[in-house]
Amino acid sequence: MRLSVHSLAVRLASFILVLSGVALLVLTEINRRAVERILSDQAEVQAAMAISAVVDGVDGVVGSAERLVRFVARDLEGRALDQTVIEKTARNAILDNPNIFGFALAFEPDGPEAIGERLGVYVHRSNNVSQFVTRDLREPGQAYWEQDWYREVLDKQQAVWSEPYFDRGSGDRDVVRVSIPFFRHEDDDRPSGAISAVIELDWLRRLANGNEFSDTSHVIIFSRSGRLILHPKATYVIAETIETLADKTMAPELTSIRQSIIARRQGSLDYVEGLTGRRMHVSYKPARTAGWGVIVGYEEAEFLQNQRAFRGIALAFLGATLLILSGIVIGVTRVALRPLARLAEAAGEIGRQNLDCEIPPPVRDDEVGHLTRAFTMMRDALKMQHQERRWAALGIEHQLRYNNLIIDSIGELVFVLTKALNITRINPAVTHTVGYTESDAIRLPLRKLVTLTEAGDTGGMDRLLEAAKADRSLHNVAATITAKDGTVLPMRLTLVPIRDGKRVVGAVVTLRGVPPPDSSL
Amino acid sequence: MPHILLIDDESSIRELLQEMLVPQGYRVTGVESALEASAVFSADPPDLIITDLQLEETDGFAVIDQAKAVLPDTPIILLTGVLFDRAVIMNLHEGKIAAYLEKTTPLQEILAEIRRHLPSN
Repeated sequence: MRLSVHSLAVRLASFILVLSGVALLVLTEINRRAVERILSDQAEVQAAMAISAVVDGVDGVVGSAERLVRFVARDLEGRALDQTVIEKTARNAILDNPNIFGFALAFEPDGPEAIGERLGVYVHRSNNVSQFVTRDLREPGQAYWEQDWYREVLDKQQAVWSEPYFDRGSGDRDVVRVSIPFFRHEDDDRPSGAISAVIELDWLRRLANGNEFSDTSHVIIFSRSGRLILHPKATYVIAETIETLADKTMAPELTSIRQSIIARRQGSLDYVEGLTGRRMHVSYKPARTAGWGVIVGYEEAEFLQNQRAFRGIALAFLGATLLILSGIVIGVTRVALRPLARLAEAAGEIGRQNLDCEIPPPVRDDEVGHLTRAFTMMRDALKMQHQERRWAALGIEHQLRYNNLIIDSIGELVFVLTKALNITRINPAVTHTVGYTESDAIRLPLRKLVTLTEAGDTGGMDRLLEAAKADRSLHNVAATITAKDGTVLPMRLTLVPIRDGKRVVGAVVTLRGVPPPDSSL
Repeated sequence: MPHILLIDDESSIRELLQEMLVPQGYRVTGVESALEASAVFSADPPDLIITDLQLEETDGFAVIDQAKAVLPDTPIILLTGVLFDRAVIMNLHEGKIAAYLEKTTPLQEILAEIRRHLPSN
């Protein structure tokens, strides 16, 4: 059986394939979405935990730095200060706080207690961990009273966090400074100096690294003004702001994050990074001190890659399963329908009147088996009918031939006539006696050959016509027949009407020769 | 398998009857003359004889007499195209023929008559 695209097997297989495929694809898609939702939720939880840890870490270090500065300021209240005292104070502050890179103290010469001279020192760690570098801020070139960090604190009279900056010359590293005003006495109405701590930012990188939870997870910290304090790409730190980063990466959502941080709101959002096309998820949270914002982000695809790989495997498995299923359906259907193909061939044979064609016996008691049995019965019935027709034809032919033989065997002249007495048949005795063949006599009116000669007869056929129409026989009527050679022979005529049921359809005329008068002697 | 001897001088009649009877489980021997029939009587005695009336050398009546002489218990069916009054024929051959059928009789009726006298396997 040839496999055609129009075959029932292929159509059935296609139907099952499409239905199963759609159903399985829908199920696979539902499952994929559910799994992706779970994985996304898990990643979001990890991001939330990471951002909390980073914010806590930032607040721990930055907050402690601010507290240290305040503590030192309070400790120095009312004390007699000189350059040696403040240098020692700075050194101790650094020694006790490993996250503090430098410590500065600077005082006004005309404070309420009339210190009398400018005091200013900046102590910072050297590149050798165990050594410190002391810088006298009164020296030319330093002139702390002219520095922004000093003037700003005195002007604002409150703690000031600087923007991150590169501490060129001192440590050659990225740092941030927190400064507070120094009041000699609690009730002073204007500060008499400033104390500040400089915090290097390397610890932030360590903090961030310690809280990264995946290959693509990263931490971004930015200052109140939006300048980057921490970014995976080190060259962006200080050089870029959150706005320029949004432009560079074509991710305007970052700008809205900064607005949220300014409004002290935390949250999360998804966006597609225009530069790379990666779909990112970020959580953001403001730090409690310094006005910094913390972003923890990751690429969603990283968390879904295993699931997507599994999806590929599942789809491949699904495809293979459907192919195998199709093969099974086609195979089973072909086996089931094979008898139909044989029945179709048999039908063709029967159509060509081969009623002896073979019909395979039914092998199963299913619909095809029933059809096969019915088909066999139909063929046998047709064969029987065909035989009956042939038998009937033979019987009729035999009967007709026998009847003709009987007529042809009669020695008298026999004329079979229509109702109008035209000749339709003669027997061989006519040809033998008067010379007329069938082609001579058929369709001729009887009167052309036969004449009635009894007294009263005018020689016409009126008497015969009347008798035939009246369904009446005539017997032994005197008549003559004119032979083909012109000889007139005396005959005795008998007419018998031919009845088909009650209807006269013709007549049979027989002529018997009249023996010569002397022959009866 | 029941054996039927079929006597008819027309080959088309013999062939068609054989075609019908063989699938019904009968073994059919077809002959065209009384002489051939008598040879079968002794060589392969049939269980049923079907004969025509008009044969070449003789007629069916003679064949019936000949068959009854050697196979008195074998049923004979007279199958002919020569029309007779059935009652007359049956009276004339009382005890000799089992049935008289005309050749215009449908095959299924002929088969039913044959089965009545000689069931197939």
